Amino acid sequence: MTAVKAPLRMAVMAVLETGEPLTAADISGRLALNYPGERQSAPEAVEDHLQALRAVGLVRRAAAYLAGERLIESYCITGRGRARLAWSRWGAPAAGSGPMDKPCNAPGGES
Amino acid sequence: MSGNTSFAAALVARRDLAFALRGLAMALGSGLLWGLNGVVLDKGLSQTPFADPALWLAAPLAASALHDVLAGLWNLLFNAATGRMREIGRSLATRPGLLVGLGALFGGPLGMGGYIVGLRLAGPAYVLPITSLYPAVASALAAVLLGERIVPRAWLGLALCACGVAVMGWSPPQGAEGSQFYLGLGMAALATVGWGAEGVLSTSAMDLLDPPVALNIRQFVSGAFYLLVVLPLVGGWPVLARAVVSPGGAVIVAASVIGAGSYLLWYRAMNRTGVSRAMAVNVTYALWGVVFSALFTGAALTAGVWLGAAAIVGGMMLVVGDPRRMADLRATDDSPVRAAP
Repeated sequence: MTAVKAPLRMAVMAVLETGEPLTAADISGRLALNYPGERQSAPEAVEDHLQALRAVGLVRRAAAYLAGERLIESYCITGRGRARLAWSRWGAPAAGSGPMDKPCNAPGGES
Repeated sequence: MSGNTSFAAALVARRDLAFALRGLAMALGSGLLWGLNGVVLDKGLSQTPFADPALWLAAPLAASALHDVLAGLWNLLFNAATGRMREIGRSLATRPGLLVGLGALFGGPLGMGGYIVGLRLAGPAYVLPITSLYPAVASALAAVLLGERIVPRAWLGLALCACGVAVMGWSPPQGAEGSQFYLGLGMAALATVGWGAEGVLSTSAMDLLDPPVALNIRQFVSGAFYLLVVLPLVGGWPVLARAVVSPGGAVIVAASVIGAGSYLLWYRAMNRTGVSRAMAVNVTYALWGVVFSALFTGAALTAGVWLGAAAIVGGMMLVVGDPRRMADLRATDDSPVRAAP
């Protein structure tokens, strides 16, 4: 029996739940395992989801820096994001009670 | 190094601003299309079979059902073309999906149904000013339930928008108040609360769901409720069957294409700019509706129309404020943006 997959925006949040700051490309790479070939899991679509999630305070930008001429941004889930994600799942434990509930750190410990 | 950091911070600010401005553009596009949609719908409702006075209740509800179900189908095609089909089933089985379904019942049968019945029982002179308050109701609910930041200037803007819509749509009351007049006022109030609640429930759900997918769920639920509950109650199925092969039905089909585009932009705008801003910009539909009426039907642009238009535009600008301050829509304990090297 195959479990029903989460909607992509929730899957993006779930990837960030580990507490590790990730870029859209990182998240897209991890989603590709569960959502192979889906256009909505491409880096550009994930970036759009992250922008929307950031605007409502469910994720925050952990770092923004230039790699050559490209702007690289990494994101973290917020406390509010964890709570909303936990609420969205049927029968899920309350936010903050899971073993994965780590603080979000920017790369190189510059949080 | 510090030059790179400040350049990165400037790029971040520019990206956030572009995101917010795209949201505002979507809200404006949604209002424009909704204004056009109203003019086309009005044309459809004046034709067979909807124009029959004996069908005063069944006809507009059948038209509304046809419009919403078809708009849902067009949106389904959009979702298929953009690779979102599988997201619909996944989203249905979540709590946010349930929230969208609940919002659909508030916005569809309660909102639109209450509006149509209210118009019939109390007349537009009373119903339009009452229902023009829906952005203010939605904003109050968004502030309480979503923690959306709404400053006093924005409340003033929402009040101005409501006044503008009321002035623009106002027509002198005709005749004595009927025995069902107060029921009509109550229905208009229900519609106002229904539309406001839909906006807040859907926006809350769209924190975690893709807007085009959330919209499709809304349209399926609302459409099913119309077809299975509302139409059987008001004897609307025979009207719908006649509409499918009538000139009026063809016009409603055209309206549904425009309506689908408007809905899609509206949902995306609410997700990007927040409920209060999206609704304040969306109510420009009243202004666009008058402009399109003047263009296509030769309707007069009276002093009241200009006054209402000025109030809507002024109110909208007050609500929107400075787009650079739109980066964070909600009050949250987490620290906002940080740029790091």
